[in-house]
Amino acid sequence: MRLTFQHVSKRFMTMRGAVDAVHDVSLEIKDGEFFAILGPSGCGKSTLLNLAAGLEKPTAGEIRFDDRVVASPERRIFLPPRNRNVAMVFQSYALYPHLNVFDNIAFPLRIAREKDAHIKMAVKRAAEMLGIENLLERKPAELSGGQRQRVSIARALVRRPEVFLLDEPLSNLDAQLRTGTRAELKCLQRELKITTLYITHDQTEAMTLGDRIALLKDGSLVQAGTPEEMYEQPKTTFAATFIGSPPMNLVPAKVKEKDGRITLAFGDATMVLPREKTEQAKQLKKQQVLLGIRPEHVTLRSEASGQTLSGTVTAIEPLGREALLHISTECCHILVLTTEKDLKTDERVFVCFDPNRVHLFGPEQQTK
Amino acid sequence: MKEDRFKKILLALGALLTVLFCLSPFFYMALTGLSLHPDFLLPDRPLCITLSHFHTVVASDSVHFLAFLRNSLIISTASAVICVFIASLAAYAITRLPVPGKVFLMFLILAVSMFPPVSLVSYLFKLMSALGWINTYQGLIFPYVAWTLPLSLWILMSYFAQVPKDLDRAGLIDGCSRLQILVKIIFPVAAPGIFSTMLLAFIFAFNEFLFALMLTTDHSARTVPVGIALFEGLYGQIPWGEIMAAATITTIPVVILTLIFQRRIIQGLTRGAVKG
Amino acid sequence: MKTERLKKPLFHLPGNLARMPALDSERWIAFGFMVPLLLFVVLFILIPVLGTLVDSFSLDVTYLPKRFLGLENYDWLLRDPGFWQSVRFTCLFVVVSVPLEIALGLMIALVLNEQLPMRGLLRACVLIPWAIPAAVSGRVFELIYNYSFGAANYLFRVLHLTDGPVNWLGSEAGAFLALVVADSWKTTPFAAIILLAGLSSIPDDLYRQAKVDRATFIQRFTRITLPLLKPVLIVTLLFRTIDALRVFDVIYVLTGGGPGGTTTSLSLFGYHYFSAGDFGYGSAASVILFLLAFALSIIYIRLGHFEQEVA
Repeated sequence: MRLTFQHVSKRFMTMRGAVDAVHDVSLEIKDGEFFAILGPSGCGKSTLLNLAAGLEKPTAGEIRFDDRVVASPERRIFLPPRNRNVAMVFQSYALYPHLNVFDNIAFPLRIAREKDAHIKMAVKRAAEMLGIENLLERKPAELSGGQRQRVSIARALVRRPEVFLLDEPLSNLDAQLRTGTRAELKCLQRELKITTLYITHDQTEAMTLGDRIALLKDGSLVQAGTPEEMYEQPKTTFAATFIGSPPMNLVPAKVKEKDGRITLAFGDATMVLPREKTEQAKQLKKQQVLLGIRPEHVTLRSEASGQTLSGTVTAIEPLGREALLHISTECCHILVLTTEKDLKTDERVFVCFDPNRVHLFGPEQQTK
Repeated sequence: MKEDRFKKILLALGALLTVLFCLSPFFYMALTGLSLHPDFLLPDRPLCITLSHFHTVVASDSVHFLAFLRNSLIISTASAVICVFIASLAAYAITRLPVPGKVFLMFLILAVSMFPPVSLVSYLFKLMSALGWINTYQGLIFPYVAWTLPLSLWILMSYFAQVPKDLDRAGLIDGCSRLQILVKIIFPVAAPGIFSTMLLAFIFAFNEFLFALMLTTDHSARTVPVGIALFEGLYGQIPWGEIMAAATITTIPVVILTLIFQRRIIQGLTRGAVKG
Repeated sequence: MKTERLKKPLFHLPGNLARMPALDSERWIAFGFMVPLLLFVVLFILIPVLGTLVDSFSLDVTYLPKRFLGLENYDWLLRDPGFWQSVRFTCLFVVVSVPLEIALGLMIALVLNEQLPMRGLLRACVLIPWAIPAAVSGRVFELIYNYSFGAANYLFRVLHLTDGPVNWLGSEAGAFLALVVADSWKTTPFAAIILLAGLSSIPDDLYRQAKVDRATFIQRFTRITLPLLKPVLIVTLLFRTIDALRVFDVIYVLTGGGPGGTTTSLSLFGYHYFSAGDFGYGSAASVILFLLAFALSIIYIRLGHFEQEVA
C-alpha cells in the first residue's frame, strides 16, 4: 500500500491562537517501505501519524492510500480509522487492562465479528510471531514493559493491516532491550512487507531502521531521503546537526574570491574548495556562511599551516576505539573524532578540515 | 513528648465524642423501637423489651411499611441505574467528544443541581397529573433520574477523565464505534467509579422527600421517608414505638451499606464536591 | 498581588478537556450522547421551573378559574408578614447552622485525618447520619425533643441543667435550636468528609517543617492548615449555604413550621400553599427562593472560575 501525504496541514486552535502542528508536508511512502519520521518533540510527527490513522482530520491537503483518497477537506472526504485498515502501536502500548493477552490481541477481530475458530488461529499465529504464546492467559498488569510492547504489536498485526503505524515504540524500554527489539522490528517488517510509518526522536533509531527518513521541525518537512542522503547531504544546518552523532561542527566562514580563485576563510585559516563546490560557493559570496564538517572528517596536525585552525583541547571523551575531543579555537568550538590516544587536555593542537567533506550552508539554510 | 501524649488523649476524646455524637440518636431510636412504652426515660417507668412494634410494622394491614419499603427499593434502584447510564453517555461525550457549547452546558448542569426542589415541585405535580403518573413508579423514577443526573455526571466525569485516552484511540483503530468504546472499554475500566456513582444515586433517590410527598397520595408508590414522616397514630396518640421500629428497619440496611462501601461513597462524594 | 490570588480557580472542570481523540465530524455523535441527559433535565427540571415561574404570575387556586395577575402575587407576598417571617427564619437558620456545621465538620475532619486505629469504622460511623433519610432522622429528633419523655429533657434533668422539662417544640427559640441541632447532626458528616479530603491534600512535609521550626499546634493550624484549606472551606461554605436555604425535610417532620409558623422556612412556606391548592401564591414564594439560590450559585460558579482548555 502506498501512502501519500500531499501538502497536508493540520491546524489547532489553542488559547494562544491558531497553531499549525503540521504545515504543508508532502511525502510519498512506497509500498512495503519502512519509513521513519524523525524530529524533536513538538515537531508534528505524532500529528502526522494520527492523520495517517484517521484519528485527526487534516485542515488542508490530501492523504491517499494507493490511489484512494482517505482524507481531503477540499473534497469533503474523510475515512475514519475503522475504514482504513491501519494498525497502530502506541508509546504507552494502550493495552486494555481488563482483558488478558489473548483477548487483547483478539479484540479487533471480535469487533470485526470474525468467526471464533479463525480468531483463535490468528491470535495464536500473531503470538507465536512475537514470541508470547506462553503469556496468553495473563493480564497486562502482570507483564513487563517489553512483553506489553509485544502484545501491542501482536494486536496490531493480527488483522493484517495495510499500514502499520508506530509511535515511538522503543522509548519506554531500557537501553539494552531497545537494541534487541530494534533488530527484531526490522526483521519482522521485512518478513511481513507491510508499509510502516515509524515515529521517533532518536536519530540512531531512524538511521538504522528506516529505508527512508523524513526530518520534521516545527511542523514542516526539513528534508526527506535515505539515511545515506540525510547523512551525506544535509540541506540545512538543522538537518546537519540533528542527524549523526556526534553532531556536525558548524564554523562561521566567508567566501573570498581572489585572482579568480574561490577560497573559504574561517578563523585565520583559508581553504581551497574542490571544483564541485565552487559553484555553490560563488553564490554565497559576501554572505554569512556556515562551514559544516563532521567530527570524523577533522584531522589533527602537529604544526600550523595556512589551512589549519589553532586551538586547545578542553575535554577528552574516550569512546573505546576512538576518542571525542573538544577543541576550543578563537572562532568556535570543534568536536574531533580521532583514534589518536596521546593527546592531553590543554594541549595545543592544529585542526584541519577535509575539503572534500566540507558542507556549505548559506543564510537560508541556517535554521535555529 | 508531653505534647504527644496530650495530643493522643485529645484525639481519643475527639474520636469518642464523634462516635457518640453520630450514633447516639440511633441507639435511642432502636431502644424506643424495642421498648413497650416510649416513655421509659421517665423516673418511674420500666423498660420492657418487646418485639411487638416490629411485628405491627411488618405484619399489620393498616401500616403499609413493607409496601413503602418495596416501593422505595424499586424506585431507587431503577432511578440509579437509568441515571448512571444516561450520565455515562454524557460524561463520555464531555470528556472525549467535541460537544457544542460544552462550557455553557457545564454551567447549566451545575446550576441545576442547586435549584430548590420546592421551586419545581408544583408544576411537576401538574405535569405528572396530566400524564396520569401520580401514584405510579414512573411518576417518581423520571423526576429522580433528572434530579440525580447533575451530581452523577460530575462524579462520572472525574472518573472517566482518568481513563487514558490512548485506550480510546486504540479502540477506534481496532474498529470500534464510540458507543462500543464506551461499553466495551470505558465501562469495564471505570467499573468501580460507576458503581460508586450508582450507590450515591441510589442513596439520594431513596432519601428524597418533597417529590415523593407531593407526587404520591397513597401507598401504591409512596416511599419510606414519606411513610415514616406521615406515620400517625389511629387514635391521636403518636405511636412512637412503631415509628421507631420502622425507622430502625429502614436504618439497618443503610448502616450495612455504608459500613461496607464507606470508602467508595466517600470517594464519590469528594470527587463530586471538590476539584475533579 | 491580591487580585492574582483571587484568579486562582477554586475548582476545575473534572479531567483535562483538551486534546481529545475526536474529530469535528463526531459532533453529531457527541450531541447524540448528550441528548438523553438534556432531555431529562429539560423536561423534568427546567420546564417545571419555568412552569412555576409562569404560575407565579397568575391566580391559580384549585376549583377557581385561572386568571392572569401579573405581579400581584409578588405584591401580596412582599406585604405578607408570614412571608417575611419565613425569610427571617431562613436567613437566621442559614447564618447559625452553616458555620456550626463547618466548625464541627472541621473538628471531626481533624480527628479523622489522624492515623487512628479502626479509621475506616470511624469514617463509616460519621457517614451514617448523612446516609439516612432526613425524614427519618427528623422523626427521631422529634422524639428526642418530646416534652414529656424525650431524651433531651431526660439529659437536662439528669444533668440538672434546668428546673423542669423544656418545651422545645412548643417555643420559638426551642424549636429553632432543635432544628439547628437536628439539621447539623445530619449535614455535619458531609462537611466533615469534604474538609477531610481537603486536609489530606495538605502535604505532611509542611507540618514536619513547622514542627522543626518549633511551631505550636495552634500556630500550625492557623498558619498552615487554615490558609491551605481556604478554597475547600469556601466551596463547602457556599454549597452548604445553598443547601440550608432550601431546607425542607427536617422542618416538615420536626416542627411542621411551628409553633405558630415561627420555624417555617421559605421552602415550607411555599409548600403550605401548594398543599392548600394555592399554586399561584406558593409559586411566587418558591420563585423568590429560587432567585436567592440562583444568585448564590452564580457566585459559586464565578468563584470556581472554570478554565477551559480548547483543543
